[in-house]
Amino acid sequence: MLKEKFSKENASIFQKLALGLVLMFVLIILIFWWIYRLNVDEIQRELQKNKLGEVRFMSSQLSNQFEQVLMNALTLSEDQSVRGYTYALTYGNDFAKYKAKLELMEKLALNSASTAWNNTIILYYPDEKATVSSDREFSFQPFVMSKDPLDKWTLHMNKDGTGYYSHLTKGHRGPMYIEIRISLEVLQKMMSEYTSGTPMLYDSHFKTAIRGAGSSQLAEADAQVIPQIRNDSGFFEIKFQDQNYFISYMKASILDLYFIDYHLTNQLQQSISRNNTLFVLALMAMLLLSLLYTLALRNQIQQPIIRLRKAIDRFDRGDFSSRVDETQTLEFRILGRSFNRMAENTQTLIEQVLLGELSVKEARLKQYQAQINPHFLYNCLNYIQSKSSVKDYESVTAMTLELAAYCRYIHRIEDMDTTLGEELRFVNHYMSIIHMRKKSITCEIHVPKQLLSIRIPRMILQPLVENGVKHGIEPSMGPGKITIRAEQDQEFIRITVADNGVGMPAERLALISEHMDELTRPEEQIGTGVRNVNQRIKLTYGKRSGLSIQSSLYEGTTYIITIHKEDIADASDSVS
Amino acid sequence: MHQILLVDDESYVIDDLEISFPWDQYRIERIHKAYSGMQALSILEEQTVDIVITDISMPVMNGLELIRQIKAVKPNLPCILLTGYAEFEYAKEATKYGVVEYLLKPLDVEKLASCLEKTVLSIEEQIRRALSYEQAMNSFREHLPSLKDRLLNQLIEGNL
Repeated sequence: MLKEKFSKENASIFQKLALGLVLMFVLIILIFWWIYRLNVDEIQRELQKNKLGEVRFMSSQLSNQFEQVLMNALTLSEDQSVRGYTYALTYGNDFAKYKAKLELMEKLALNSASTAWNNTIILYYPDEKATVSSDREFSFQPFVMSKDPLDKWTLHMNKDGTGYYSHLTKGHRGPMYIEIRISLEVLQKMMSEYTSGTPMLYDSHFKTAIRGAGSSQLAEADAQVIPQIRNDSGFFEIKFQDQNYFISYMKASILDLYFIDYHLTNQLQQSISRNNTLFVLALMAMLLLSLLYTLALRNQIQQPIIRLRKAIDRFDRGDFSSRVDETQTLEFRILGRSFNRMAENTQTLIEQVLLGELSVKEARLKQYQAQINPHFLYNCLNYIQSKSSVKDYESVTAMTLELAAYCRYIHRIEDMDTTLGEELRFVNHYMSIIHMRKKSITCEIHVPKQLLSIRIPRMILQPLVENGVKHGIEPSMGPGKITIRAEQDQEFIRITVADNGVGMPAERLALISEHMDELTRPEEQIGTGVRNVNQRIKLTYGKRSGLSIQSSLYEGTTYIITIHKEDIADASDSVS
Repeated sequence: MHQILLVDDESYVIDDLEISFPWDQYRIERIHKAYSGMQALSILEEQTVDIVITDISMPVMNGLELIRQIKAVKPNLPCILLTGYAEFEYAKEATKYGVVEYLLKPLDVEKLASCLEKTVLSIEEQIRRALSYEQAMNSFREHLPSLKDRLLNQLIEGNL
């Protein structure tokens, strides 16, 4: 639960947006589905109404036709020639009988043809044992009385589906029966004209189904359908051979004949569901498109954000020159510019502060340099005292003079810079003093004449020489030598101060080299002197120049001052 | 008469001191010089040195370390420390190791003189005390038989 909440808060805007989109689409699909259901229900209700209407129409048509045929026959029984036929039979001669029969047959045929449904009328005269019919077939056959019940439609059906409905009525006047036969073909023809569904007739009295052409496969569904046919009309649905049928039925009013309509509902649903599928597919495509659009938008936003964040990170790590490139998007261009402006200002401020710190440092350094190292001075005094105690006045004089020259150079702090020659002379004084005290320590200087005149900051060689003596030579037992060289090539002037002392372990060298360029580390005691020299060189000549150290244990340490030639001109210009 | 060992890596200090100081006034007849701690230890092994004067700051083995090693072998050997500038705190700490005295550089000869005087006297006192103890023990041993005699006689006479 907590985790879920956490992840929710952590999700990016775009994840939320995508989630929202998907939810929205799901909602749309649900609503659409609901509306679709409503529509389908509505359509089905409409369909039922339509079907019932059609079925009602068909069944009433059936009733009408049956009634009309019946009425026609009954009218016929009132006819003069029908009634008169008995007289002709009783009283007429053979010719008259035959003529009357032919006339009557013609009349019946005419009558039968006058109704919409083709029917056969058979007149039975039981007293005279005579049969007259619109169909010649019956008229000249021996008299056989029909056994059908009176005044009732009776179905006669053969195994092959052919057959007829017959209706037997007793004539009003005289012993005469009228039979009307309607062939099932007529009904089948009527059914074949019905196209809005698959029709079927079912006689509930005789429990027989009358089918039109091409609907015989539905016979197997009878077991499902027939038990459900009750009352005068109704509808229901069945599933048969993987198809859904909507079945509506109605009873024709004058006989137990039902008109039944089988309607395939699948057709309608299929087309609707095809439309649905299309709609859902379109929706999916839209969802996909909007997700893609979101992704594209995300790239447009994310990329500048990442760039901006990287720039800020760089700035945070201390790279104050970190800036953002211009981006296409307007909002981010403005943001980027604001950041760049801020970075610019911050950089300027930091540089100002650092410069201020440097100049404070420089001042402190000058003050420090102006003080002669008391330990050094005490040693000199000790030397003078010692030599005077043995009355070696030459040594006393020499030491006094060297010390005086040394002090003079140190106290000339108003001069910012000096020449390499001057500085070397000063180093020479220093080394002479050291040499007097410890004979085993000597100094060699190899500097070409043309380099003696280059201008350098004051007191950049002496600290290196002092370092070499103090940390390189003095801790070792053997004789020590400081060698100072200067050389130049196309680009650089290199001044090296080498001692043959104890050297230093790689870790210490790494530590000193690592902190050489750091401006703010006043508490660190290691390598303060060399760091100072390095920074003053950089301050004077720029970043291309500086101090580096090489050292190997037991072999000595070499300090290398590298000065870029172009920068010397600049430096002397700025000084002069 | 005594022997002294001077130790300093700056050779002129002890060279000059050897020449300028009136050693014989303090009954010091022989002066040994060492220019490093190691050299000092090897001289101590070979010679019978009575007093050591050493500088503090020396390469490889400094004065304090030297004194510590000397005291481990000869705890009664008096040591005098020479200290330059800013080594004063070390020197104070060195008194723990049994340093007799520390002297500041540049060296005040009179202070060295009084210091030596004191040290030499204490050495001689020690020697004298050792000598008189020896004499007493000797006479005791000499008279032991007569003492035993007297004790026996007194026991026999019943005087105890």
